[in-house]
Amino acid sequence: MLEKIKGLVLKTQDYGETHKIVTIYSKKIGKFSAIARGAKKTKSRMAAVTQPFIYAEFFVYIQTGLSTIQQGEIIHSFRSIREDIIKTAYAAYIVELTDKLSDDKDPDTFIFEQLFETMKWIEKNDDVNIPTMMYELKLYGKGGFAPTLDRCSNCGGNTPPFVFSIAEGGILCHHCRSMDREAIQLSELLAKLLRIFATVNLQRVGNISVKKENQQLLRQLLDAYYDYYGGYYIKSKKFLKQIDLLK
Amino acid sequence: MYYPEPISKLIDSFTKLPGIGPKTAVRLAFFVLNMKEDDVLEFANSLVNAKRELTHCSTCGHITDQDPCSICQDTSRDQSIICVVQDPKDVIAMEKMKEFHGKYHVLHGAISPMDGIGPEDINVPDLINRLKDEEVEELILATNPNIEGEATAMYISRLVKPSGIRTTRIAHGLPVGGDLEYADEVTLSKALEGRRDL
Repeated sequence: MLEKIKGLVLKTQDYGETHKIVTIYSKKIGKFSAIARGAKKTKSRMAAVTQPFIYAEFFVYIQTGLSTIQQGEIIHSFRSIREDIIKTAYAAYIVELTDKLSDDKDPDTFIFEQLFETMKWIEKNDDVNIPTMMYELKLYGKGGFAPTLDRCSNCGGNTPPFVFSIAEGGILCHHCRSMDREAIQLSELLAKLLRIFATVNLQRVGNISVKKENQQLLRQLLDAYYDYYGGYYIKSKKFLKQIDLLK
Repeated sequence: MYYPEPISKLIDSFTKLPGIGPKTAVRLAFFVLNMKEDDVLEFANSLVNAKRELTHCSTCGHITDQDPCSICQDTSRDQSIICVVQDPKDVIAMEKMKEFHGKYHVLHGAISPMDGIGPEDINVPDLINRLKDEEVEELILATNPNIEGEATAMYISRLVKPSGIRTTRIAHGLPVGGDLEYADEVTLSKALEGRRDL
């Protein structure tokens, strides 16, 4: 059945001499893979539309196995992302994380919108750490390992000061903090920020200003949390670390 | 099991080649059986020689049977321009054009954020050493016009620009013989950006 689907290209893989297998994340049907025949040829009309990060409308012949892309029309190319190596690294990271943590043909409007908004943020702004972390936290829920941030993950209480326990999967209140000796101390502001990051839509955020040291702490915390629960090796993270050294 | 051992080994060898499935391998193996013995020997020798005699040029990284390669040895070529390409096949494509008379540097890959391939995984350090040793005035970045190629070009230009060497990127735009009405917006905008006076 031929369908018109709007989606963002997550990754492409060469197939044979001239074809590509394209993985797309769409609002309508979620993540799906489709073959773009001849997309590697210089004069192919599908060469540009099948590049990673492209948001386009695809005409796809949906099949039970591998679908086929018949045509594609670019809606938004996220050009300034591909023209900046640091932005490319961040975009590659969130796109790979989306690919790894979402199932095939399992649509999720919220995640799709957040992915699109995060890409738009990366395109327009230079400080992309916070939106990336916001998106990661939302995606952890999709992967089934969202941290408990609105209450103590042990007793459900709300008594500050809080600590973040990776082993307990979220924050621990003042009474339960002794459960995990390796828990990371959180200021009240950071605990609140984490809660906001996990729930608030990026569209509603105007300007984000978080101190550099707090950003670093949150980054370490999320990295350790993902390493504990994530399960998939994210290749672009290695690259992101190499590129961060360039700054 | 169905074939005598020598031919089943030959079939197995053919299936190791890209794009060759079991049926094609059988067809090729039987074709080899019908070939003249001299032709088969020549074919086998070509395979072995290509593997044994070819090496990477210690200067530019291009495949060669002599080190340094014929391009690096050629003193008539412009020593002040280096064209950076991803693959030895790209050198051949550029040489077919017959209009570039500088030297090359082959990266053997491209930086790929998606695959975790960083600058340390490709032939960038050798390029930086070359720029220190040789008197280079211009570096042409001729990597492919995709995410990986762009990332590689951006990385190299960031590294090289502080040294004052002119760093240029090959033009992007419409292919010769292409149709303007069928071009996508990215290609067209790149073509428009790269327009020049006539």
